[in-house]
Amino acid sequence: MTAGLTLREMYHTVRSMGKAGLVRFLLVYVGLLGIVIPLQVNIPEVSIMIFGLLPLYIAGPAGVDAFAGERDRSTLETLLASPISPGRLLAGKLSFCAGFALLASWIAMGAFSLVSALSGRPLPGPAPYLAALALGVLTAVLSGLAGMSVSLNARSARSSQQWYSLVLVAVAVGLPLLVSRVIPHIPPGVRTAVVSAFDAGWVSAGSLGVAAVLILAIAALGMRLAVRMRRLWVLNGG
Amino acid sequence: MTQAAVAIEGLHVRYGRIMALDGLDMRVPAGGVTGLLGRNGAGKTTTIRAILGLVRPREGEIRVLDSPPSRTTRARTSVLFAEHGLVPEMTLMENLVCWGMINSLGLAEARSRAEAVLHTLGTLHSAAAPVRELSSGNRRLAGIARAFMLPRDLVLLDEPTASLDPVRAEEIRAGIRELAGHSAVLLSTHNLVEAEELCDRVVIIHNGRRLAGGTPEELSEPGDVHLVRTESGTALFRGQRHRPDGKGFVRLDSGVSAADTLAELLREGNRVVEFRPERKSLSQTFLELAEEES
Repeated sequence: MTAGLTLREMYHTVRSMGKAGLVRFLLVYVGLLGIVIPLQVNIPEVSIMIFGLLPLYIAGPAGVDAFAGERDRSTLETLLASPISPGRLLAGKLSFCAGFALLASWIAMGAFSLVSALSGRPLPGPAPYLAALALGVLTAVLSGLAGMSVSLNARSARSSQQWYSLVLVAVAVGLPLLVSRVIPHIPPGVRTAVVSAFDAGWVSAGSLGVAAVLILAIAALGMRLAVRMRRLWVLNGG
Repeated sequence: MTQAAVAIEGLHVRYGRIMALDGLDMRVPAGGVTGLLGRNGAGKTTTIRAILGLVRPREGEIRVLDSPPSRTTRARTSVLFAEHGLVPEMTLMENLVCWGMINSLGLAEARSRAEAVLHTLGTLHSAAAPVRELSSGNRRLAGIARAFMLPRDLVLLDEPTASLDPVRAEEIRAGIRELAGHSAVLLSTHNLVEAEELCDRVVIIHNGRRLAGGTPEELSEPGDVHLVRTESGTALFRGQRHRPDGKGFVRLDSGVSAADTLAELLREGNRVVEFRPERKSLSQTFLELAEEES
């Protein structure tokens, strides 16, 4: 069931984009984000982390269409009439959002590595690569869930996109503001301890802490979504 | 009593302030075709949704294949809504294969079932075309292919032959008749001629309530109107001479039984060639009931 739904999402995305759309997608994500921008950053360890964040820009927008798009295409009711469970529906949609984002990110990462090697630039070691891969998985799942969460409540794909953009702006602007407000109130000893938690390198208490926070966020969002998914089956709103 | 595929008792379903089903009672027997007739907004689609467990009733009971509607009953049910339910950008074959896989088939089996149903419906040539590029009739046919692709105990069809040409419509009706041999079919339609031809039983609903139900013959019970053909063409009845219609029959609204009407005609010296009570069409019954309720 889940595989059928994931395959359906893939076909739908590929057919909707068309050949020209796929070429544009590869040019932007692989060419610009995967090669040009990372090569402008001269620290390979920083460049490689771009690929850990790249899925944010792909999985979220894909998730935004998950349910609102089905409503627009009048396919949701038929899908709900199948024996698929809420959990499998969520898993099938999420597998595509995260998988598609990771695939694009890994292709871009491969292109970056190839171009770096061919141009004689230094490549990051295995640890940064692994960290970028792990971060990519977490950001893909988190942003996919966030997009789907917005999509679940939106009346149309258009309003879903608008809401998701608002959420992104709120997070992108609000989070740095919040951090800048909070940091001065943190005792200097704690601040030093937090910074030194990252001293051990890529596998440090600090980076594991960041991963733990992301995993907790995924778990919380995933559980909330799984509960709210059941409402989809009640077309008369209870 | 025939075992019911669907049993609905006193079902109330509301969308906000609108009462879509207002104490609906109906049964769909385990085999054959049951027609669900009603005007726009009568509650036909809501009834189908209720059978699938897609609306939450406020009151009443509904049992589908001996259980309350659930994922288990949905696994034994197939539905064609007014919309075809296929992703327009995907090809017909991609849609059907994915639908088969969503319904627990493996990739190879889903492909083979899809090919088989498209072959049966004579639409295999459209398999590689995106659904949005198909004509409206072929899109309807694609939806039917999806609904017929998997063997099910209960099949719910909302206006299956809408936008099909007469030849295709007849083919689909033949398919529905065949389907009814091993499944219970609930057919929601506005096409009363189709309902009369296809349905073993009919339920007429209005404003979310059942108005009437029975076989099409039961619903078109003759009344006090009789048709008579005489040697002279005209008929003398209660002192008045009545002229025939285009088919040579004189229509008499006698207000009494067929036997008494015939006796009166003979008494008045008519030489009767043919005499029969007028049978109402399902369409007439439906219109009369709808008018009474309105």
